[in-house]
Amino acid sequence: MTPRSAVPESAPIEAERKEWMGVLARAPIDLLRAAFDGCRERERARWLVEPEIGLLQLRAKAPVTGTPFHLGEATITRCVVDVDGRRGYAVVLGRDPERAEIAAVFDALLQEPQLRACLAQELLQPAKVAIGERRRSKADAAQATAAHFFTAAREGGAP
Amino acid sequence: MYVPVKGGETAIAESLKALARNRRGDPSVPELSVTQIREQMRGAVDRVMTEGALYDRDLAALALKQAQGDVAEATFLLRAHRATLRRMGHCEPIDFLAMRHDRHISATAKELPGGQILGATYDYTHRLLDFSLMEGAALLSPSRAAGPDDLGAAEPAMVPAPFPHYDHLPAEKNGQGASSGQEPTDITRVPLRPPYGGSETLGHLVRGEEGFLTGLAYTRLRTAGASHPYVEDLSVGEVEVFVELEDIGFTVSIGDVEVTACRMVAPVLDGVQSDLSPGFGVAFGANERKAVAMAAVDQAIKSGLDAELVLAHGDGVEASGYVSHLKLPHYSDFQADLETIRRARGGHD
Repeated sequence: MTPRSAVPESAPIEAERKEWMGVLARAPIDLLRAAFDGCRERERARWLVEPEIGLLQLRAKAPVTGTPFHLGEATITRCVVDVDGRRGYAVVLGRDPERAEIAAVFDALLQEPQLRACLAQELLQPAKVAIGERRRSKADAAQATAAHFFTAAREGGAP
Repeated sequence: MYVPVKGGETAIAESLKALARNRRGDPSVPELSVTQIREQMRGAVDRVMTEGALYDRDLAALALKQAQGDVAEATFLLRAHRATLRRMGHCEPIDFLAMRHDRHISATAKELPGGQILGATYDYTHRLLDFSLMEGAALLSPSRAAGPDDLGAAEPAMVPAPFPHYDHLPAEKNGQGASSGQEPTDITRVPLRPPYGGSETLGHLVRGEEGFLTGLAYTRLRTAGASHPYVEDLSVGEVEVFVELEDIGFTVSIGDVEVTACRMVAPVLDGVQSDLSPGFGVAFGANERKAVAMAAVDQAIKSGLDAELVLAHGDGVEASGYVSHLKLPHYSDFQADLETIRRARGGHD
């Protein structure tokens, strides 16, 4: 998926990293932008692979039959940065070089233990809250339309 | 046979200008923005994404603007653009059961966990023109529609539970031979040839032209006799897209896509072999006519509808391309046909 620009790294922080990559892919762009603008460390980032837009084949499986099929494609943007020897990756849905750049730089910075503590509080936490709120408000709006149907009994007994 | 013709460059250039003028309409009316189309013409945008086989709301909205709202033309534009982009990989199989529902109904089960979530649907509208949507009418009737803000008093949502299996059918029962392995058939690279497996059938149906599939489903329903398919589950909502990052060796979530999925069943009466036959339909965005029609057609193919008829003719871009080619100069063909007719008539005189 990502360009083969680096040897696989050992990933002791894999679970955490998976989570923050998912958060960076969805966080409101204003929030990301504000954190990025206020982050001095970003000046140390250099491109390994600049943002490029391409296609992701969307695969799916039909329920019941389990037949795998090609659902179509989606645009994605990906890039790789290096910050002091740490590689930051980003793959995000859509044509969005800005988000990809910010996500990749933060992916690199978040691997640095001291910065991680700080960024987790200043960036990831509010981003998670915003994503959760958006999901909850959508779920609430859906739940408000929940109906419980019942079959009306016919008057006068048998038809 | 096509014979090259020369000339007409100036006329063609003028024709393109005329097209641009038509697209813009009356210059005293403000121009539509792509964002407005994306947000307020969602039915068309979702249809163009589905038939264009490319999930990108901005590009679909741009295509619609360029095509003056002509869905078939916009689909063509999106397909053509798709062909210019590089394929970077594939996602993990999307799990429709993990959908966060905006709508979730069943025509076979009264009791759905979480209730029948009607969501945003035209099903309960009266189909009367709403004149309050006319420009200027907003001044006369302020705040007529309840916005999402008014939902504060609604019951808090339940934690979206994973969708339970209440299937009547044993899973994997209808697996379709060679194509039910892990790798789906890549219909963008493998030409369509019989025999048609389940994988290419679904792949071609997803991007199939909505009107064609709706018409086929209708024909089938009107002539199906006793066998009537049922919508077992219809859901609209977001599903997560996961991608494996080879460099770092694990799978991450890269965003969400909105889809509509429909599971259908139809009774098949055949003595002790009697059973329910499944059909599946899916579309990008909120597009349940397409999903339901596709599920009905998928089920019909499993029950003997000619797959060749459906799959070889269901692609809107190919179909409209073939029909449009009739407008190209056919001067020599026509002259030859005329000659044949004259000769045939002369022979009988």
